[in-house]
Amino acid sequence: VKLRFDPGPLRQTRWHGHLLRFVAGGAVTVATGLIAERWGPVVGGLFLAFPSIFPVSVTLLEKLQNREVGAGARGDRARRAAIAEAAGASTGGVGLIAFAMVAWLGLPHLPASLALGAAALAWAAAGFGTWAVRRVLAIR
Amino acid sequence: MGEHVARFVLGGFFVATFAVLGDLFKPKSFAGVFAAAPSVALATLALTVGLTGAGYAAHEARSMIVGALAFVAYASAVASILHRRGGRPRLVAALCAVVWIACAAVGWVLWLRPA
Repeated sequence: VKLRFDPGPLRQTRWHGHLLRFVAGGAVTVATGLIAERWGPVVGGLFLAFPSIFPVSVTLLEKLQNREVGAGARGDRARRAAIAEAAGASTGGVGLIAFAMVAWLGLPHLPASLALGAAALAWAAAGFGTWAVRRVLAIR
Repeated sequence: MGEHVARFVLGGFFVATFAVLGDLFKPKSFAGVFAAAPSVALATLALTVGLTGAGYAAHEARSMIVGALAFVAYASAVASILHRRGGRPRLVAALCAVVWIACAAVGWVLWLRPA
């Protein structure tokens, strides 16, 4: 399957799906802040990469795939989509490691906007780079 | 209270935005990269720098390296279990949080625990 831009799933996602992700994201960010307040930055920092949103995304994905199949859906298509999503997330996780390393090294020495901007770029480069490498190796 | 509202709005915004970006691409494995976007981290670190300083935020980022390694193990476990054993994706994704907790705990003991 070639990489392509496809806004179809975005149109199929119902508005409450977007709202759910917004609320979940907000709640997790508040919870992470509370953990850091209570137990300090070392423990709080761990939870910056806690997979709290991923189960929500997989749930929405599963519902969407089953809805597309219609009545009698056995979940096979949803499972295949979830496997692909999880495999992609594992390569995105490599990007998260790069993000954290650049932020750790950059924040004490650079303006915060620059350090976090560089960290976000590192996430994109490492995450999508790893995805591309895995794809090339899988094809061969 | 204002700080928590700011965290909620900023975190929700980043999470929803990266999720929308993920919905725009195929194949699903590419879109999945967005499922590991640093949404919560961006919101948290940006606010932490403003509230408690860059040094505190850098400490959080250092710990996040361990959390991110645990995330790679978690996502790999979800993909592997669904592939080999099947099951309901949402259930597997929720239960595999145990993998993240175990890996994060090991990383904390080996690297982060105060001497």
